[in-house]
Amino acid sequence: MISHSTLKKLTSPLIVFSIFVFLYLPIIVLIVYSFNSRSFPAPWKTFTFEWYIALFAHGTLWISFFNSFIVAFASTFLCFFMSMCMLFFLFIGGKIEKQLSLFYLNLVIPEAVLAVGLLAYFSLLHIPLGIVTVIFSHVVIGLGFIVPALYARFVQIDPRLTEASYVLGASSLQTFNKVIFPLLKPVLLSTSLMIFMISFDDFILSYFCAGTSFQTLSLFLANSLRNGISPVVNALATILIIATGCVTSFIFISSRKHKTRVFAHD
Amino acid sequence: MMEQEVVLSPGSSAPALPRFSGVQRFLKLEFLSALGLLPFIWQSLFFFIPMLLLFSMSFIDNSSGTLRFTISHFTQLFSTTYLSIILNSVGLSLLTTLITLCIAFPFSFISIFHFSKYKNIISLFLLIPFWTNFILHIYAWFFVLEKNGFLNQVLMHFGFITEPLAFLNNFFSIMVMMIYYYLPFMILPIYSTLERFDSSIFEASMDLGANRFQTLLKVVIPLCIGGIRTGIFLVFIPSFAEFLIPELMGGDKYFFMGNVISLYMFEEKTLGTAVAFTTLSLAVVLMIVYFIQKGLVLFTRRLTRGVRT
Amino acid sequence: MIKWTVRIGYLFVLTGLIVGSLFITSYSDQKPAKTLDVFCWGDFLGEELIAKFEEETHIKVNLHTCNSNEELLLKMKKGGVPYDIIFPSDYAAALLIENHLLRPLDKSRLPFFASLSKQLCGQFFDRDNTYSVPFSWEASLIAVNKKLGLDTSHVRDYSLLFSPPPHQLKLLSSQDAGENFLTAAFYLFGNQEMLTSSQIKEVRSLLRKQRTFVEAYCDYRAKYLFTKEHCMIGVGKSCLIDPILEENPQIEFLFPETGIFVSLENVAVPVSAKASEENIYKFINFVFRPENMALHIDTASMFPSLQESLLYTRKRSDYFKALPARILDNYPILFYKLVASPSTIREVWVDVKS
Repeated sequence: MISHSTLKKLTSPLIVFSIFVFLYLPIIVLIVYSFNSRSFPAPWKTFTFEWYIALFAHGTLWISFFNSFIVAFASTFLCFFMSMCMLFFLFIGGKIEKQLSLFYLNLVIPEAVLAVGLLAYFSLLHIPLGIVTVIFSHVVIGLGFIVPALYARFVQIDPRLTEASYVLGASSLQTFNKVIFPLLKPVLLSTSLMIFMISFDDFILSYFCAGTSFQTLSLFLANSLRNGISPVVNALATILIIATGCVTSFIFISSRKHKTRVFAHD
Repeated sequence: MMEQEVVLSPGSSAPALPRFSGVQRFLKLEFLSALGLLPFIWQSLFFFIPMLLLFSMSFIDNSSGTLRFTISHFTQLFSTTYLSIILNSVGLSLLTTLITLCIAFPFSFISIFHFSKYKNIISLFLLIPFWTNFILHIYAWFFVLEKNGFLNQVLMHFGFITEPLAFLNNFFSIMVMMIYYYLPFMILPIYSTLERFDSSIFEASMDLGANRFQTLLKVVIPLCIGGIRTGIFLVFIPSFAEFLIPELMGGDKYFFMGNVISLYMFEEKTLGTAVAFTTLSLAVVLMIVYFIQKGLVLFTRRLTRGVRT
Repeated sequence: MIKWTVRIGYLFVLTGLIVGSLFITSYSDQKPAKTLDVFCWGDFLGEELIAKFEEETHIKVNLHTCNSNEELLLKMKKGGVPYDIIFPSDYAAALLIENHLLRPLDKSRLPFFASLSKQLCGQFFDRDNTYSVPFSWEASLIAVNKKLGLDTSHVRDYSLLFSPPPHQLKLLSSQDAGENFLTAAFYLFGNQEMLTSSQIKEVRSLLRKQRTFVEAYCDYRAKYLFTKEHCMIGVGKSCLIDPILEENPQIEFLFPETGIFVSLENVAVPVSAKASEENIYKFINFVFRPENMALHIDTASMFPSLQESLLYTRKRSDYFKALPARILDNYPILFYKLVASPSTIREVWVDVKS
């Protein structure tokens, strides 16, 4: 029989383990079956790469992948550019503390509500739906991440650092380049990557704002749900999961190194 | 806006001000202050104005070709159908929030205090499912829960059941997916709040005479109440408008607020109703959020009664 | 003073730039002489068909797609791009004709009209086919798995869909609110003009009862659910017949004698069309050529309005090819005619699912 103390010792790891099983079970099953030669739900047959080969031949999929990539890149770039502008504004002494709290709403409001609002807005102004509207809607979400994070990190910078740099003879531009910007690079990098991934994976906003001629990867996947389970989608899922894993690890490691918080909420 | 003197006080939150020559200053300042407000311009253009527009549309009747102020969209909603849908949505969100909270808190607590060596790796592994594509999540759970799915196959293989069980297309699968999707949103804020601490809290408070349970209740929970609050808001509010998960996992058999909105959204006549319904639901959610907020404050006060901070 | 105006000036410029970039993707006003804007469903016409037309006539075709008739109606009403040719369904065509949004067609320039299936012409929305010409159609049949062992020799009406299936199985229903409502209404009351409110209440309670034994309301996973035998009974759309039978020959499609629901896609020309009449009629005549319509059948799995085109199809089974004639000659055709207003239907649907 298991002794009482062993039981107590086991419960903690058991809880953590079972939650991880819950989180990872579907993912692992997906990945494993992408290598199965028989289409699910047949049990394991032979190991094969044939679905990956079929994946690379699939034309529409790559178009939508490319579209998602462009949208994510553009949204990230726009967010980055606007936050840099704001940064420079803060640098020369602007105060925006009161207006900052406006940005917290972006993340809290349900995406569906935002999508509905934007759709009504676009149709009222007769703006045609397409890649531009999708990008612009993703930027709204992205701003909700990058602006508060950047501001929080910026006010943490010790003013004596910049004062010291002026005393040592640097001009304002040099100060910005060599003092302020490097300190903010980790936050900028990790938030930008986060925005990229959120935009890439986004479904609801893209669904409402993309119109009918523009398809992102999420929309493509939703369409392929139509046909039930296909191992080609499994293969795609595996690739995406591995890519996500790499990017996440990268964000994680770089943020740990610089001791910044990716999920600061105070 | 621009001050000449450099502010030299320790602990001032703004960095020291740069020095520009006259013309430079004029150009840079005016141009840059406009540019610097770019995020706010964007925010107004693409967030505030659409939301205000949405709100105002619920009061406008467009059917006769001219715009008239009306509250008919709202009065239409006060029927058992719509109210029960709002009730269902609230129930779903509250249930999701509660369950995720009950899972997230023990998980974070155990990870940080029992496995403090591994807490970084654990939080890395938490992030990976978080960033995976939403549709892939759905796809993966179809895989697992279907009649010929992984779960049923495993159960039959080990002889627990003879016939496949119906895990999919019912409330169970909706809840599973909701929890799966929102769990990271709840875990991460709590986790990042607790991360700052380690077992020394327990040592310190036990030195002062409290037992482990009292420490948990009166020290740890109040300390991470901020994270709990963030988690609750990150789960409760978005899950309220969720319509994809019920549609895809529930066989489109149950209607929640989001489903109604998407059904009514795409047609001109019913747009007003859709928007009124959105506004009404948001109002309900914000009211509940207010009560949750108040409740949390009261809860913290009760817990820390007698504890001097 | 100066500072403020300059600042506001900059703000305006910026805002203007942002808003302006929104219109980058908008349509150009100038339409080159040889372009046609065609508006239809996603997979409806297929790239091969369009490419063939462009090669033959050197007229560029801009294909605009939509997912539903509602979208089509919305876009037609709002204006936007003036479409030259559209493919509305029966009830959408009815609404468009009511609102005088369609141009009358010159039958003398449509020589194929005489060879179209007679049962499809002159329907409720356009008695003389003044504004629309039937192009293709699909039928909603009842799909049953033979393993159930049901007696399917004599299927009178849709009772299979509205009574609980045997062995506590669950059935598959279509996703659309209108289809479910109108099928239920027909099952209860037969052909009606408009439903009374007590009749609407009966439909609602029937649908509520049906919900207890429905596995899922979906169109897109129907093929998967039938072939993997998660659902043994349900609504089987004709476009899925070949894919389903290919994977699982155990599935049988049944034809209710009281009538088969059909969705008819028509060709029509909006009033606001900008292209030249010559090009428009070239296109219409092109798609109605048997070999070209066959391309459409292969892509979209619809039944054609021109019997002859079935001879040219490459991908359809013999069973599929025999069906249009079989259905049209032997069974009454039913349309999803709106016997209640769309908002009522939607309200009932919301109520059923709440």
